[in-house]
Amino acid sequence: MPIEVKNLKFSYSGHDVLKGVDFRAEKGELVSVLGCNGAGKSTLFRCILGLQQGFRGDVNIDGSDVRTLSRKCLASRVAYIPQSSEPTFNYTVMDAVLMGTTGTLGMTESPGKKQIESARYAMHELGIEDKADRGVAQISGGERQLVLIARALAQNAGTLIMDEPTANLDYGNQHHVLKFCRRLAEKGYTVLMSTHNPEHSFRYANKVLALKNGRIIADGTPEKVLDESLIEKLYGIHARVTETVTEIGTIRSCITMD
Amino acid sequence: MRPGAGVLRQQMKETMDERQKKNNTGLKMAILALAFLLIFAVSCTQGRYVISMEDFWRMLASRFAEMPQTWPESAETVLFSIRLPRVAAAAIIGAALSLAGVSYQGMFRNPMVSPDILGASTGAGFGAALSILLGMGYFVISAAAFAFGLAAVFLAYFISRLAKTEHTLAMILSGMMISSLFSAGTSFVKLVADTQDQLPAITYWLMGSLASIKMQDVGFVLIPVMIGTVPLLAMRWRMNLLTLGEDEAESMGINTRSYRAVVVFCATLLTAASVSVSGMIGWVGLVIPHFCRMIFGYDYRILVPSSLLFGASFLMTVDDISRITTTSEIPLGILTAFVGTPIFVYLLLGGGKRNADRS
Repeated sequence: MPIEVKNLKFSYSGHDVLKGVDFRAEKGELVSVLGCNGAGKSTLFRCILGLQQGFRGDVNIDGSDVRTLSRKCLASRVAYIPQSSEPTFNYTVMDAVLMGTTGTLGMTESPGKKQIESARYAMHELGIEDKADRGVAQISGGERQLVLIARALAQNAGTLIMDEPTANLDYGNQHHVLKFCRRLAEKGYTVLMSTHNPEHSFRYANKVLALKNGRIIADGTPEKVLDESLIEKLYGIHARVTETVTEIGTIRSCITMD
Repeated sequence: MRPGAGVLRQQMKETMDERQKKNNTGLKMAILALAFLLIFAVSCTQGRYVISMEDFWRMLASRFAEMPQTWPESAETVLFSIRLPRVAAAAIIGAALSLAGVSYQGMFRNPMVSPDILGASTGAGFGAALSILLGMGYFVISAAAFAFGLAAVFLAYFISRLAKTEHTLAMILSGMMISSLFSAGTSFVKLVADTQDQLPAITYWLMGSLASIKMQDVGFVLIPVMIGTVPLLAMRWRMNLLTLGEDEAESMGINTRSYRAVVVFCATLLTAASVSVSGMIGWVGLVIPHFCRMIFGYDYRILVPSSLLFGASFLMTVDDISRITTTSEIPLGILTAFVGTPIFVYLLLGGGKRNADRS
């Protein structure tokens, strides 16, 4: 489902967080949002998820304004995948994934056969079906992130919003998780993902959205817009973009020069 | 090996695992229910006046069907006007406090939270102390305790709604404020109370006891407890989502604000009603949910009904100890702490990790 954001402005107690953001994300695209801490990425995501009231401008998902949609209706269109953290409540993986289906249930309903089926399907998609009966506190951080993604798939929404899905993950797990994100975009999901690593954008994103001081300063394919000057502008750090020819193609990466 | 065979075997194993898991939960639940019934029967028959098991069941049945009277008159008096009200009250209050505890713990995303977190108990304590000071009768004391318990929580809740900080944090903070305000109030009442009879009465009330429970008290506590229990029981799946935090739950299609209000309302009703007839009974709401998590895991679909049964069984047992072991009864508030503290220390030091894998 396409996301369309037009002239989005938001201020919080006199401070302008978003100062007119415009962009579109199409079905099948993995859009990576870059920007330093406090650039407005989280606020932007909250607006798209309908969690933030009081913004100006338009946020449309699949052609409807998020402010006109009910919670339930919104949940059927857009799912949120937070950073994985150490859980206090040790649910089984199955129960954790099942929670994604709650939007389809009535107030007093519990998940039934149909919901269990879609949870099983989601776990299968992410290769964690053998973990179904484990506790979420007992699996690795990478697996926990996959559980959160599976939960979003069980929610059955076409748009996935990911808040730094690779935070707190080790090097191997970062790539493992991102590979799944990429695969989901190829399957037709619209994926909007914030990341702190330009290399992740090079490797996995179709599109880069650079956010600075509440404005979009670059919007395009990583090859086109993600260069040394953009990294300098975003992070205030001098870096060099290099190309490495490998057997799977030419891969770009960043080397910091400071 | 054919590639299909492995997959098939895997699937078969999975469905078998699942069936086994379900059976396990069902079996554990059945044992718990059986234990509840057994404890109920033993509690009703044992005491200073022992009733035989046979007479007990016959007397119970005689209330629903025509039965020839084969038991002594005194047994009937003891059972229906003294023992049954007390045992029933213990069961209802134990269940209510456990449910309130497990609900608050989910809502505050903190398994160390107890039902008095928002000030229900201290509010009730103040209400009771005040009405004892004013020389009120038993019924007014209970009613005032109930009303002040509710008032304390709603005060805390509304203050937190006005606060600009994160909602659950604001609630915990304003709960603490209101709690300490009411306990200061209680201290003041104790200070000015007559030391001959009022002060001991207040002190005993605050320690918690079921010694003076009558059948009408059971009715008094049962109605609010039912009103509080039914919604929580009906919406128990959604409680799982509340433990995830606001943004996540909202993004999955839940209106957390209204749901949280329902939970606060129901859990407060449960706590205030319980405390108003029994006085302060700590620990039940904190410890029982932990027990249930160790046995049944974290899913609120099972946690809610098991907490009800476990809490009821626990408080009946503790009350039995209170009235059977010593002639001068040990207040429940003291006994539950004696039993609860070692358990809690054990949990805190890592015993809870036993529930590591539920598979």
